[in-house]
Amino acid sequence: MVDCDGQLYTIEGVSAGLIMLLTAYIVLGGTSIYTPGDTHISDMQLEQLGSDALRMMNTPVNGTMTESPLQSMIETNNGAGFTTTFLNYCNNMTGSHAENLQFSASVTYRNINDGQIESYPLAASRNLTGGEHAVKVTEWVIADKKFTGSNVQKNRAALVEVLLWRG
Amino acid sequence: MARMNEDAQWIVLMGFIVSFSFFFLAMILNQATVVGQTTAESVLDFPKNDVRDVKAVIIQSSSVPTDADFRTDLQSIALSRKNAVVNYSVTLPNPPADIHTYINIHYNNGVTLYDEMWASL
Amino acid sequence: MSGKQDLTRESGISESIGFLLIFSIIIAGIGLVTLYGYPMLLKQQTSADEQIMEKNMIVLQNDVKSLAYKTVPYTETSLKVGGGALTIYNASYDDTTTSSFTISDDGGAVTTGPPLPQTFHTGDLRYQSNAAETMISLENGAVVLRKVAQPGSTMLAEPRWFVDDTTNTAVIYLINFNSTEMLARSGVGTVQMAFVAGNYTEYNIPAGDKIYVHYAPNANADYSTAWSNYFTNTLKMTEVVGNPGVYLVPTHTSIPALLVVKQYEIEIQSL
Repeated sequence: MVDCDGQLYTIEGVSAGLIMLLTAYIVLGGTSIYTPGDTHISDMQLEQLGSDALRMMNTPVNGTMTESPLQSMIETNNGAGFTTTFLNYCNNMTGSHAENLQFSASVTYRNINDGQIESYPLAASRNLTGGEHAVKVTEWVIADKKFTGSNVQKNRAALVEVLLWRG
Repeated sequence: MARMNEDAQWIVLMGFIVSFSFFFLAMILNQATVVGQTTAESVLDFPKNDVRDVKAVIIQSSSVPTDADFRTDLQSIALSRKNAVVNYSVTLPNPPADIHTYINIHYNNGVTLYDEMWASL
Repeated sequence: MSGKQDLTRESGISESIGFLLIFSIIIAGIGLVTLYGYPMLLKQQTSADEQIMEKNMIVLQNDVKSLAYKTVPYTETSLKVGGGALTIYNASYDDTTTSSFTISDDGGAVTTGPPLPQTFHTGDLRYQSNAAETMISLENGAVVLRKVAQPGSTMLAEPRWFVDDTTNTAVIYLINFNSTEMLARSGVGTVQMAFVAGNYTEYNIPAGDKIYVHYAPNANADYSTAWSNYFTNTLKMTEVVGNPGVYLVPTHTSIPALLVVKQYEIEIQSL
């Protein structure tokens, strides 16, 4: 005669196995989730860093009513000075190694003659090749300058636009 | 029939616990797909730096000599490059009755509408 | 066993019946899972795929926002397209089948900018599920969805058109997609988008003149309900009586208005 001991254990085992298999199947098959690589978090940080750097450059030294460094850089077209200061602010990190940020800056102004909005490059630490995942930060500047199309030197509003990316 | 043995019930219990925890995890993960906009995207959408920047430049402009060209510069560059409608009016101080400068700032980029009445100290 | 005869009496049970019982329980279980459980799972998978795709489209919309509104030159996002295919429909591919927006005024009074009316073809980035039930499109900066068999459609994420009351300015964004070749993707891929060109036009609308917007849907992907709801509910436009699909932009007509039309061309380099 066949031994009938442990039949209940077999049923238990089989049903438990089935439950576990079914659950695993539901979990793995039912919800395959692929979250898109959320690059926006690092974008947000980069944008904040860039605008802070520009803001620091647009603050007059010692808080006096003199021109800010950024203002005079635009008025004198001092691209090299912009590069040095901006990269210094952006790439500064506590610790031994520096951040490796690259940028490309331009100045946007209005041509008084025809009212067109025009831009000219101010400085760049590296040329854009087209494949960089960059963010854009901007800063308004009052520049006492003769922009293209204007004959008079007076206070004008100009927008400094900087593309910033991790090189 | 084998007689009922009550040993090792915890094995079954553990099996159930593991199964149910899997199930709940799956349900939570399933909810995650519905959430569309992430925090970072909302932060990127909110023009905090732009508003601050526009405000700063308008206030600064009230203390340096500017003319109508400056206003046109600001408004048309803001519209074409920053996609924002900017408008402002400056009330200069009228001493000795009032020594304050008042500036009304209006900013609208379709997502954020911002109005401020600024008074100098 | 012999010592415990009083406890386990086996004379009342049959081994073959016991086997049959267990066997039928198992077969019934398998049958239930196959008949009901599996189709349910598949359906859940389909709706999960569509939900994931809705989120993906909103992520892509954020990329488009960066390209257009922030004039960033290039973005890329990797995503998984499940249960369907993501296809690019070029704006320039065929003028008769892509959706278009037409901006017009009461006629002749606008002297600045290119002459009105102007028609813009947008093209779209479209997801179509295999079950052919749902269509999700990224069209002119908005994410719109429709069920294929039903007439309606909804807008999941809105574009950024606006009318500024204080300055009486209407700003309209037109974003079109282009690609050098036909692209489609199902499975894991990277969507690479590049900003090609932008165009900025200001129209000075004299007092008394009115601005209208008309959306002409694509015959294969009709999102007119979604756009109509966006126009009337979000932008507070009103549909012109006797002229369905044409909407009046709510500027103050008693004073001159400014209409700003911004066009962006985005190239999809890969899907």
